Amino acid sequence: MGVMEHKFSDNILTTSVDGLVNWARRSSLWPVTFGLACCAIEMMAVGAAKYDLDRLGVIFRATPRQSDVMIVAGTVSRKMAPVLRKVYNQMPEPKWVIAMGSCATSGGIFDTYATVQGVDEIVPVDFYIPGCPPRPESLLDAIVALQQQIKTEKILRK
Amino acid sequence: MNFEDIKKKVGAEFPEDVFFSEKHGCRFLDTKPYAFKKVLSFLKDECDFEYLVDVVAAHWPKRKEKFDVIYNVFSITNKIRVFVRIKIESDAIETVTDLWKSALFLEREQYDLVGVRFEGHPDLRRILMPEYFEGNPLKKDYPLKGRKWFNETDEQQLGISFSK
Repeated sequence: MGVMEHKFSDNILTTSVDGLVNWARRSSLWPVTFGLACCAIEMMAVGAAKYDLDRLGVIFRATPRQSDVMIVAGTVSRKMAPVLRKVYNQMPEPKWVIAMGSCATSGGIFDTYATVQGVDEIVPVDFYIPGCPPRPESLLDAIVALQQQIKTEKILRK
Repeated sequence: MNFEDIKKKVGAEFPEDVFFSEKHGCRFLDTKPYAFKKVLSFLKDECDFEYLVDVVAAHWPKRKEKFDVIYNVFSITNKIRVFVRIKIESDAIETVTDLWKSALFLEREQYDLVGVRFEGHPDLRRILMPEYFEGNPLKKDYPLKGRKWFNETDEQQLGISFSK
């Protein structure tokens, strides 16, 4: 059941609105910069001139309140966990999470007393990127895959 | 002043308590707990070691002297680095915050992670681990994967719980 049910009279069809909304959402994915370790350097490289995320409509925002996607780039410690959750909570819906690198996906080599074993313990993750750190192409691939996923989402009709 | 001059100067001041050695290209000065403060003060005031780079503590659970405390001091004037090393039996040692202000954070770090108490430190509390954490993670008897404390507090009431 879509959000628009019973909002319009019966003779109005909303077939193409999903397509329009999804186009808008996937073409302006604004990530909140959550760089915690060396993966952040790679994330910055993807944002810079050579790989250039801007051409996908991806513009980094320094505040969760203007963001759609959170790229968790780096090792999450126990002390950082509530901060990460709070930033996620501050993002408006709809929101997605990309766990970048082996630390964010599983704790990586840091199987230790202070490291969270995967950011999916704190927030729901949509895409996991392997690598230590991942190549810029991997992050680009995850963003394109996320755009493909958004393309298939249904908002107004179910 | 080169390193030989410093060796002579310090050796003449503390003939009994100071032992110089070189290993891995590093210069070490071993001294005793009762004399170390005077040695460090002498190094600072008379030998131009104006920069305390680091304070490191190492835990030796099976040894009679349970802790090594190593002061990494550097002379910017003479471009010389010396590691001053003290073995202590208890977990307490005198602070050097009155000599170098940089020791304020460095000693807190060792207090937090290794559990050496620096007596006379004006603000000795944890610096890296959260306040609700108990224990000293870099002590050899602390379990490497000791993550039980993760779930002990939910400090911001966000409903986070950890399973791994």
